[in-house]
Amino acid sequence: MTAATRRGGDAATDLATPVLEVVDLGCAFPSARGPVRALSGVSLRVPRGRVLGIVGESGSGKSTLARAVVGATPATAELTGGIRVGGADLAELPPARRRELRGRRIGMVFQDPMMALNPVVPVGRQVAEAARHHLGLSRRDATERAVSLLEQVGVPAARSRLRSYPHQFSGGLRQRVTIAMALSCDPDLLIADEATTALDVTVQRQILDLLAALVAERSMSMVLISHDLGVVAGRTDEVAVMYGGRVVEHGPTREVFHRPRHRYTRALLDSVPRLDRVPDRLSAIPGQPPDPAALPPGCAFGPRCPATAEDCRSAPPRMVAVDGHRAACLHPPEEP
Amino acid sequence: MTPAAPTVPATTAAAERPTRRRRHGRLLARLAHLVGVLVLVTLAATALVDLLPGSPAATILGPTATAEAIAELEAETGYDRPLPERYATWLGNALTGDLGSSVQSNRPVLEQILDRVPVTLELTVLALVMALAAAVPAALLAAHREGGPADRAATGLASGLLSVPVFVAGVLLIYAFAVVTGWFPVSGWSPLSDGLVDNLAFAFLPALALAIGEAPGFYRLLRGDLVHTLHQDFVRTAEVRGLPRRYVLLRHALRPSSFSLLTVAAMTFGRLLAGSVVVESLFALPGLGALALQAIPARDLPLIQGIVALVAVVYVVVNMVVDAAYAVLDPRVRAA
Repeated sequence: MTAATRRGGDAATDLATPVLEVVDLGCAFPSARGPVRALSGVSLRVPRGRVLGIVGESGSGKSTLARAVVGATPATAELTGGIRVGGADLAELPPARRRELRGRRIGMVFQDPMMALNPVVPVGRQVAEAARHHLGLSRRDATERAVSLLEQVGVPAARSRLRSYPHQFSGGLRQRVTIAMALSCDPDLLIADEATTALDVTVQRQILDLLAALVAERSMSMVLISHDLGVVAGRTDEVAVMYGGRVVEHGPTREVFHRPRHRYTRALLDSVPRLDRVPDRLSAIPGQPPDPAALPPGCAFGPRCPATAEDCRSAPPRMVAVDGHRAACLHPPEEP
Repeated sequence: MTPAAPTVPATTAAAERPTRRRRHGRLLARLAHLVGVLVLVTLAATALVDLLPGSPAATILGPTATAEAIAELEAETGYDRPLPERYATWLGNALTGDLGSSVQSNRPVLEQILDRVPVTLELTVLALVMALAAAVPAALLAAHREGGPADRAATGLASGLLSVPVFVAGVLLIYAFAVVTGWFPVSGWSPLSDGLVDNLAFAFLPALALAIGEAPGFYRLLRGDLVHTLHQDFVRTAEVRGLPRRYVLLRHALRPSSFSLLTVAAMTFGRLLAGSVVVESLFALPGLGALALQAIPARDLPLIQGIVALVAVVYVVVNMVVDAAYAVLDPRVRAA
């Protein structure tokens, strides 16, 4: 199936329209200590066929961002800002249409495949069901599609395993099954949220290579979310670094990694152990990740930053263009 | 639980053999367990003679009986023999299908019990079907929106009904649907062989009274498990894929939520099949409960023993059916 027939010549999905556009997205959870700001002012766009990496520590907001995009935030979350999928503003759509658009255009792969799969439903049905609903396939067509998807993601003897249950698969194969599920409706965008974190290192690599191959074959876009810079480094076109619920640096992956223009990115890169040097000790970032219920008024990284100054403490720095990418740092690190 | 077999790489055929052997072993263990339960329960029933004060023969013959007559009857019925001997005799006869004769009517116990079983069985099945038909949709509706109007209404109603004793429900039903409206007969029974309509007319109200007693428990159990399941990750992944809520509820959440309901419903089936004394008395039904009620004060020990043996067999069989049903509902049990 070619990209053109797949998208059915829909005007809203022409090649210039980004598959995903997030504008000034905010997300807060009410709590006894006041609102917990999980996301603030996040703006990102994912052009067609491109791979965006999102990196950051746990609690930086990267998973909340993914969930907000696919509509899986808890009911108590207060969302602000806009999300456009294939040019369509989700806020303008009725809920049923919104759910369908997300389900069809965006595939999501979660961290733990055992949790993402229903333990009492055969995998064949789990892979086929979304296609039956969204594409109106018959039972037989949907089954054929499930076989073909499972083959594409590298599940051996796919046809004979349609009636198997998730617990009968290994961890790596389970994650392949969830990828097949995510691909069920030929999405324009695949979001992989820590998709390899729960897997063995060797399997991790296979899954990442599979994702890269699928993205290339299907001219899909992908958002690859990881706390592991090594996962994102060679496999993304662009990378966004998140800290304290904000994007603090964003640009082409090489630019960001070779010439970081935010103190946090710099510190993050320095904390990656390297095989080609023998360090005295691992350089860790001092202090604790920020508490999203009590973010400082200024730069969220300020309390841990070696270069923090008076001007960092008044308001969160704005994203400004530097060296071919954008960063929100008033005192950027020197060239290495 | 049996320890896992050593994981030796083996061909499929070789791997299957120990599994089958283990399965047979488990079946044998279950059967041994089953026989043990039956022996203990019937032995306890035989021991009733020694546990109750006074001689059953004296009770049977009444206050005017002479000591010689009592001794003669005791010798005739074997109540003067030691417990092991009495039990061996009873067991030997029972295994050949002879449960003895009622001391009241002198009719064979087995015949008397089999006369009553159809009434109680029909009542039990009807009551269980009614209770599940009310509880399952109500639980789905309530869990669909936790804390919503349907949830609060159904949960409130269930709490209310749970505090209504079955004899109160029965009396109210008789008053409303038999005395005032005259839609149903007040009491009595018409066997199924005399026509379905008459039979159902007599069975409906007592079955409804029983169902009102059981449905709230079923509802609360299933609602709780559904709410728990709906918070699971695989439900979130199903929703992220844009599957309609109704589909998610019925095809993803219901089955994994129904394990405890299955157990409780099966136990209820066993309990009701032992005869509901209250409802059968209230509606003057010729069921097992009424039979037990008439056997106990009369010290009709062969009859009591026969009923106890039947109840024990029913429970044991129900337990086995539940185990088998688990394997159907939960594929993980099948593989274990």
